[in-house]
Amino acid sequence: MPNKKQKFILVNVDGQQYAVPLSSSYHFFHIRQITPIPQMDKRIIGFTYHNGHLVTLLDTAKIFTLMTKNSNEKCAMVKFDHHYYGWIIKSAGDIVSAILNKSRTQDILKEYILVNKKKIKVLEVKPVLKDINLDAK
Amino acid sequence: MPNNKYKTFYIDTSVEQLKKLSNLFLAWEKHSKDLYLIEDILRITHSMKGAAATMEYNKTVKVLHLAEDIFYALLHKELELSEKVLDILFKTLQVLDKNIKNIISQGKEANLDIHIKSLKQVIKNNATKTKTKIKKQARASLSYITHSGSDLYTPLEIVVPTDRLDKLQRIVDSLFVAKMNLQCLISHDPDSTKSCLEIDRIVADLRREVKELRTMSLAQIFSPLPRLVRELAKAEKKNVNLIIEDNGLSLDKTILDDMIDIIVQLLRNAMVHGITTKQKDGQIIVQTEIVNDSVKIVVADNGQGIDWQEILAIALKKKIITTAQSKEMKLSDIKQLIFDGHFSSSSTTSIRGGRGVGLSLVQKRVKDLRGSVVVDSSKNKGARFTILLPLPVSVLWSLVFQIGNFYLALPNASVIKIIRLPKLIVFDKQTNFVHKNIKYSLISLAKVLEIKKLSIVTQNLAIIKHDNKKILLPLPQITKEEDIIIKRTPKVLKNNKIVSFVAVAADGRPVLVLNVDYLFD
Repeated sequence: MPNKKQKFILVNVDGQQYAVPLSSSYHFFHIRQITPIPQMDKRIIGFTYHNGHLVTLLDTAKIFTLMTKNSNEKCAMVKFDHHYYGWIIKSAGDIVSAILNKSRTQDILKEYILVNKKKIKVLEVKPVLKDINLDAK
Repeated sequence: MPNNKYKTFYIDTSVEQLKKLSNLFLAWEKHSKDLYLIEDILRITHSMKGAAATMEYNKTVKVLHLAEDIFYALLHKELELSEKVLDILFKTLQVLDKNIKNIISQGKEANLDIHIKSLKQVIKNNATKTKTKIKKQARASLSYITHSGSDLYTPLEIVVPTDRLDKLQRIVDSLFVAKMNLQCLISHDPDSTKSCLEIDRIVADLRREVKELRTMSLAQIFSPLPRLVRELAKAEKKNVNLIIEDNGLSLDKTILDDMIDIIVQLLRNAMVHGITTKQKDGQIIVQTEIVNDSVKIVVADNGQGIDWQEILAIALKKKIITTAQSKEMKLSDIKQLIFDGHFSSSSTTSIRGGRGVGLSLVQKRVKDLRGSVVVDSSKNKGARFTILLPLPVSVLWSLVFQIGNFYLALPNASVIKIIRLPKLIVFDKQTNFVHKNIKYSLISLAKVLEIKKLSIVTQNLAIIKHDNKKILLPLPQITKEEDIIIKRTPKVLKNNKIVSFVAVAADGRPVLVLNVDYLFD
């Protein structure tokens, strides 16, 4: 049975395109203040406060080892496992409908969508937390 | 097909009604001649039946209908309240509990056929006495029963899901942060300050109301415990009296779920391993009280107690400890053995000392809540578990400051005194400081936070106390005292030792609340 199409928003991180699944909890905003956390993996920048939510900021560029030019200052907020996380991005772009696929690569992100025959990886919190070794319940 | 739209409402309401029924049953067991209690039971059963019918849970309707028949027969003295009848009615509660759990987990009713047969059997045995006519009349008049002689009967309540309350709390917290921010901005304008004071009052009222909404009485939360003990006592063939002293407390829902799980686990332990079958005067006491900023829970029994030498022997036998280790162990170390996960999973149910089942879970739960658990017991003198859990607070009066890039808070409750030095001092590599002829250990936050080449130049020192030890903490020259709003602890802080939790300061910025215990380590 074919997978159903889902809606994604395309985001730009240092010139690289990624997709964020659209859900009721997603939100885009400019980051005002960041509170860094001691004894924390460098891929987690810190916390910010937005709309009554405490958001854990994930350094998207560092996680995916992109050449950062410190030009990313927006946040794509998502809810995962009752907590809020923010992907640091440069900008948000089009909304697309696509089928979610899964690759068998060793990459952190295994899910992707095809947009104009181009593979765009889907930003997922779970494998990133697992990679940083923070997923222990 | 049951209406899914109202399923959550049905479940929440049924859970509450089952709790009330349980209370009424227990009261009725003691005061079986109080017909008003049966009327209350009938009213709730009837209401549950109506709700189940709306949801098209037909087997549930059947169970409740048959239970109603029995209550009518009892009300009209057509049926005698025997031990057997009482047991089947308590069993009905168990079955209905299980049924609700089934509806939650699998979306459908449990198999109720066997219980329906049992209920029919009770009615059949008394068929000659039970008159349908009376039943019908009584059913018709049920809605008009106005008396609520029993204190246990409460009027209709609206069930609000906790996530909706959380959302409301979040909005009110945001309003509070915005108000604090506004106060900072307009503090020099008298007119604005006046308006701000009015807003302050409104926000305070709103926060208090939301807090009330989130609070539940322990009496309500503890209501299933007597039934649980009754069932366990029956299964274990033991004679136990449960005494609950809740001191009229009401607590926030966030702590109650964990708290009740811990108490149930300790009750089971006391019941299974503490109280013996030979005892005629078995007694378990559950006490709760507020001590400073914590809730103190005591679960004590007058059972056979714990033989610590036997515990030590088991730990050796199970290779949890070595012989060399056992020789160096103090009583406090041996006491910790019963909370060891390996000890708990070992088969120790048949021996006097073996009370370990589930205790590792209790300790884990308590630790997760940043609390402590202590056990006092000796052979033949019962056991007493004392648990201290910090009360969930949403606003914390704290010292807020910045060191390097880190935005930090120190709860005022952990500060004994702030020393204001006559002049600025550079705190760099000193490890001690003498103030008024008292030598204090000095803690460098720069060192704790692993910030290299950072000296704190300040006149402010905080004296912090923990377990009879005192330390001095140099605070940055700019340190504010303010209310901070505590937020749900993010998952990424799970293994962080420096930070206890995160809050939001008046400027809307997240602030990391320092773990005072870690500073003493």
